[in-house]
Amino acid sequence: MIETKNKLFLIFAIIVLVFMTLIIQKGPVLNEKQPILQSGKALKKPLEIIDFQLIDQKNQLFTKNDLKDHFTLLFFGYTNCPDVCPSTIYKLSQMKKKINKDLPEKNLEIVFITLDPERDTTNRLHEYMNFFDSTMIGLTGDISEIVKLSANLSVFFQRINKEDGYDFNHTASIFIINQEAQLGASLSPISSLEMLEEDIKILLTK
Amino acid sequence: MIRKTLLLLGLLFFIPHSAISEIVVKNSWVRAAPDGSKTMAAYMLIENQSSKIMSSSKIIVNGFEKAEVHMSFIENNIAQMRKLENISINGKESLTLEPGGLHLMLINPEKVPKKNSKVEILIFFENVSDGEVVRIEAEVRSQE
Repeated sequence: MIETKNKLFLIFAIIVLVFMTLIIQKGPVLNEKQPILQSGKALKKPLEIIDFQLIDQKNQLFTKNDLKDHFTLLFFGYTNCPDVCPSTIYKLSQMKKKINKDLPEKNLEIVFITLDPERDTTNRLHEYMNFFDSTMIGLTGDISEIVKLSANLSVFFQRINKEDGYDFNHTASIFIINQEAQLGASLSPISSLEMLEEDIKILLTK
Repeated sequence: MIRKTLLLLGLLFFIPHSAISEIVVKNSWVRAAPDGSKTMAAYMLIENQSSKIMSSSKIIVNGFEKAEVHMSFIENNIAQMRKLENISINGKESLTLEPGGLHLMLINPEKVPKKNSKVEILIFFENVSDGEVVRIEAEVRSQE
């Protein structure tokens, strides 16, 4: 009788152990869907981008639909930003060349949205984009549309007035928008070009 | 006399672009910007070869209304900029001005300088024994 009890206990213990092992192993299996990035975070569930209407540097209307059917790297800034914005543009321009060479079918696009529509007119954006990379899309428009979209993407910006003009403190993250016009991940702009390239490739091919 | 003048001219020619031996400036450049830009950024490495603290609160950049020392930093993914009143370098130390960090902000150009041209920058140090101005000719170029 005792022996049978011991056997039953042993079987029960083995079952518990097997379950525990399965549970422990299940963690990484689930995590496979969630790519681990070096330079930022991928969202567990992609975020739907709201409808918006902005104007590109060629004076053409640009809406959420223009983000569909390809991947986009999107970031916010202003053209009078002398240091951080051009550094990010430089990184993104380099990246676009590399990724479109290795993964041409993804048609990676880069979109820059100004937080300073007062000074960043379509003409100014045309000049700016042509200078850095004419294949990039620069967007300006009604401030209410920019505020709406930045709130949707949790972008913070704050105008800092100075004696001779103004600057902005602003979220400098690089957002990855998927083919369904959903936010898939956000990356830190201070990451190295190599880290960003690796992460973007992971996100584009997952 | 003529020989002496020629010798002097020759010496001047070979003087490095920052002329004070206690302060040596290397790798100076100005980030090229499109026409119509109101601000540009200059970067460099400033070495203080003396054993004294060197500080400067006056910088003049030819062709610009003014120049300020600014620090860019990204905290919690938010890019911010802070104006510094001066630059100060401890003895035998150096200061790096580089993209995304400390830089000279060149404000209101008369005309945005073109790529490959040179921008003259004068940094007035307050604690240099044999002179007080460091003159730099920074090349305008894209980030590499």
